[in-house]
Amino acid sequence: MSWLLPLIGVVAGFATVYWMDIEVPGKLASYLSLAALAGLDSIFGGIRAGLEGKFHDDIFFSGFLVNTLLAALLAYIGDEIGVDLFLAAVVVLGGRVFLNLSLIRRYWLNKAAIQKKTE
Amino acid sequence: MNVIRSRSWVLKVTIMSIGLGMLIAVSLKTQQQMRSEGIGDFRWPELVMAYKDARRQNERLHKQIAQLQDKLTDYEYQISQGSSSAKLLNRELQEIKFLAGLTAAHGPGVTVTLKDSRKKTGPGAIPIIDSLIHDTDIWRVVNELSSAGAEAISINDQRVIAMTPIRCVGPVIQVNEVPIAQPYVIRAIGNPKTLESALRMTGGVVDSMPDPDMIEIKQETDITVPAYAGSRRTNYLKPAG
Repeated sequence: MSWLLPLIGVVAGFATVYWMDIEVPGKLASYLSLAALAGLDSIFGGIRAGLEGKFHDDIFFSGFLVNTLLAALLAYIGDEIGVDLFLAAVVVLGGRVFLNLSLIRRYWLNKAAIQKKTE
Repeated sequence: MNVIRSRSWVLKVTIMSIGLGMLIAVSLKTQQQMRSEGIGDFRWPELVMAYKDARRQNERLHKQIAQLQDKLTDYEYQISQGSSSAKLLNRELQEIKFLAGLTAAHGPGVTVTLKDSRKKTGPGAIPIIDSLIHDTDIWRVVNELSSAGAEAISINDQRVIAMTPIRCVGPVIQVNEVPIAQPYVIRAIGNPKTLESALRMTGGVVDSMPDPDMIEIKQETDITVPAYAGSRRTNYLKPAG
């Protein structure tokens, strides 16, 4: 059941912030969404690396922090200089999320198939 | 060994998942807030563009109104060139337009500037709500000026006429059909001394300001008050009798 833990983490983090009374300037809205997408990418990347036995603490933690900040920052710079880097980031990060998800699914299917064989 | 290894990465992913949950919650809240304010899915630069467009159009239309009103006065003048009765009628018409605020006027008076307080606000100091200029402050000043015999009043170049509303609309104040923002400059034509002393009456408008810097009164020898530039259409009004 340990695979449920990250899901519980997301719900816990969501709940603590959602009921808090914070207000963010509307200008930051799109950058925040992008940061959330980058975070999603990092989490799925971490799960995939863990399942493949290639998980490294430093890569995972730095990846999460740097990717979220960098995604928002790049989109902001893009807006400033008039290049829509926001879309580029959405396409790349979205693509990676789907790729990681499909690899995680494959890994689980493989594991299920092996278990069936051994039985 | 394998079990411990696998557990440890799941825990680390869980820790960061809490961060992810927080990020998602913040961005969801921000989006909801924007939607509830009617901003919708627009992104900031687009909103700025739309706002600038609307403003430019507004300015152009205002210029158009001024031009059309000038033209109207011209036509009226031309009519008056005809018979003597037409001349008389036109003189009366011009006088009525002048009194109704449909023409610009100048003369001695006062300039009253209202602006939000710059002093520290919050507990122990001026409450935030009192540190801002409200619609009530403006109409109290306007009311006092009219009662002291002001003959023409404008607020940020919006002429105050009989049906002028002065009303709070969010962060700005609507005068006629135009939203205006602080600093509010009220110009009134009349006896400068009388007008100023009316505002400075004990317990009057100046006294009731929580911060004396919020109001500034200047006597002027010659100020100009613009003509009313809003719509003059009536939908329900019919002459009686």
